[in-house]
Amino acid sequence: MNKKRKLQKLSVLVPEASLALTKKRLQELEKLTSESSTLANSLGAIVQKLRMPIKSSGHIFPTIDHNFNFLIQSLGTDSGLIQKKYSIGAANTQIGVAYIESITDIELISTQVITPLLQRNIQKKTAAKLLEEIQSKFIAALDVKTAFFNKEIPTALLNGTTVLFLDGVSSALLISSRKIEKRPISVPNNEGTTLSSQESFTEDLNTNCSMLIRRLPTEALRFEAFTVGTLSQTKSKLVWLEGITNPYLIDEARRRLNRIDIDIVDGIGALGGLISDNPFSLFPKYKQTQRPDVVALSLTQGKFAILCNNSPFAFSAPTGFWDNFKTMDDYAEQTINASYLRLARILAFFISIFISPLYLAFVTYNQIIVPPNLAANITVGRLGVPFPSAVELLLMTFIITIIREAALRIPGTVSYFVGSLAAVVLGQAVVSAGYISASIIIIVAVSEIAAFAVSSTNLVSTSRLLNYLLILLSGIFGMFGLINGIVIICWHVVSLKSFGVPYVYPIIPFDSSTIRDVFTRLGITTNRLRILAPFNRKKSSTK
Amino acid sequence: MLINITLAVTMLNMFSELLKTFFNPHTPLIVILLSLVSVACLIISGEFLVFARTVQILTVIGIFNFLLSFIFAFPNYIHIEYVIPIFDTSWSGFIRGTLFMTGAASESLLLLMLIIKFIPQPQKHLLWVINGIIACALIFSLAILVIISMMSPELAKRIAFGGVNAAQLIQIGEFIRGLEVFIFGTYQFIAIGKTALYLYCTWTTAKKIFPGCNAKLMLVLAGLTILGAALWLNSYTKAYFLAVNLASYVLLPFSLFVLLLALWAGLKKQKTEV
Repeated sequence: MNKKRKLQKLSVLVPEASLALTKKRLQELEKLTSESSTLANSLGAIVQKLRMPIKSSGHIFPTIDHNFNFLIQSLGTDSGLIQKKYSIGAANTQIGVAYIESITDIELISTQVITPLLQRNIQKKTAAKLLEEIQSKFIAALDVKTAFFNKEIPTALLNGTTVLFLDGVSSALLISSRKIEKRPISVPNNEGTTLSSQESFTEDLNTNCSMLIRRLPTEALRFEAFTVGTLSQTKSKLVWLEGITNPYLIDEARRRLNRIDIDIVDGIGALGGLISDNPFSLFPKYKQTQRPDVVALSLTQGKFAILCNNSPFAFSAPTGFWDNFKTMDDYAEQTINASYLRLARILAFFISIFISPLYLAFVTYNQIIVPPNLAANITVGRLGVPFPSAVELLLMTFIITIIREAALRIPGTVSYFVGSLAAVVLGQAVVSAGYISASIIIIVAVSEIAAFAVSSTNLVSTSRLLNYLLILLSGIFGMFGLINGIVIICWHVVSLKSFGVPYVYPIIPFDSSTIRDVFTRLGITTNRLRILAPFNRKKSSTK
Repeated sequence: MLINITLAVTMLNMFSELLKTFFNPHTPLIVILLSLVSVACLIISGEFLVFARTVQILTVIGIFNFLLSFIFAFPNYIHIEYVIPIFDTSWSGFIRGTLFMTGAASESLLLLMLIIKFIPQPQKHLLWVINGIIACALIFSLAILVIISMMSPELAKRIAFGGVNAAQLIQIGEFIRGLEVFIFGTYQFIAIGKTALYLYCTWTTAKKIFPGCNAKLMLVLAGLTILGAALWLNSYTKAYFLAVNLASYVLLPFSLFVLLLALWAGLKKQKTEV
């Protein structure tokens, strides 16, 4: 009997242990969990919706109190929102004024809006007519608009606008009263010149536009406003010269700006990354400049520019490889001097890329080219050094990058101290201690200094990264690897485009008419580049 | 396709022998060949326009490099007396030499035959092709003349890698020496450019033979085929023998045939228009 009982299923003895029953209960549990999850999601969505600022699409309320309540609900209580009611005129008509304290010019509102309303005699009229009269006769501020919908009010307030409500009217006046905190125009520290203008852009979009208008006071100068960033609402302007710039280029820029779908755009760097071609390439496909004169010159060449609020830089495109070697001094210097200096910058860029890998190829694989005396010196310098030359070069190049970054981030005069400490003390010490040979220090220093001779700061990082690639290739294969690297770089460079313009144009494809202003600056070129300004190539004929 | 594979194999074997003899004796052959084929695959993997522009920029750098290195040969290493006897030749010898030099660009005609249908108005650009062939012949002739003037025609005829050997002779003072390191760069540009060209022709032909197959996979397979064949041959002498035979009996007659065909087509078109 006991044996038979042992052989029976457990579910016979304990009905709750039945597999079918368990499965059924599990399914019920799963169903319940799923329903709970759906319910939780719905509740979450409702909570989220309740937490979101109210976006009313209705008309402005006719009562001031309702409007004030709506603004408190939209912007919260601690946003610096000031709301005040006044009685004006013989009829004691109620008006309500709202603004955000931190971004509004209170002096302007007080003297040009509230004082005239309180002091002057206002006749009894219907509310709607009174609002019209206030707008046309009592408010001295220049930029006054009428708003009819609630949703316009919070955005306007956040842009420094003062809102004036009138009791009994379903519209409001938006009075531009933004307090602009801006620094004065300063010297372009990143793009220093000796003979050209000493002005640089500031963070204020209007100031930047004014600098361009001052340089190009022509009706051909066009501005088109864009707002980018769903949260940052960054104002930016596309600038070009009508009749000179290729219209397809402007269409393409417009298309790319409209395509931006991101929450925050904080400056030209972020904007450039979003609209430029091939963002993973090492080479800069647009110019980021502080100088209004550079932008003005590029506009006359048929390029376009983008200015962005909160950014002291302008975006200029299409930018070719050769544009990175041009400075404003080139056009202020005498022809021969300017050409010499431009050639020096181009050579400096190539020296910064190639000197380290060439040195490595010569000392490790192709010693035949090294003169015997120099070879002996290098050998003596390397005595006791534990690392192979390739490792030495890579280490030193990386250490110099660290020192550069540290000097850049450390505030004020301390950076000079760190720079000197690193250059003199550390350099001397590593050679004395026998960790690194002296010739490597010289080569890396020359390479690093040459990188900074290029007028474009964007190209400095490019030269450093290419330097690493070529050191690796020449460390592995010698000259054979270096030349393979050159082929790959050439292939990459010719495959690049900046807004449809080949990156190494006008060399490839070749355009002989403007070649005088590429490697040299031999006289003033009378033609614009064919791709940039196809319909207006002659510079002198431009009206 | 076979002609292109064979040409690529000869080019790769001859260049790798040059590299191993002068600069990298310890680097394994497979590493050298793999690097060259990989770079060739890379530069043809994108648009054809990019490949053409890469070749254009490399040609300019290569010629500049060659001339800049050999400028140091003047005046000490240039013997004009070596060159003068070359011009003392019969008309038939002159014609044969000219034909051979114009045939130097004959491989490019293989490519031209492939891309001709993609050129919008080929008759308009006929002059470019002729200019290209003449420029190529002139540059190669000039290079050979420089080598002969430095080494004598007899020596130049008997040695391989004339440019590198000639550059090895140059030494001015203590510091100007070992210029073959730079001349080698031009040789490498030519090797990569030609290998890429043959690979492109092979790849395009393969795509036509096997339509519907993955293009990138076909490129890799074409590259591997060339690499395997080059490794299998593994001989400078055999490669040289193959190259000479191909040039004399296949490419030169082929290029002449193509040029005559183009001329005939041009004349026929002119007659029709009249």
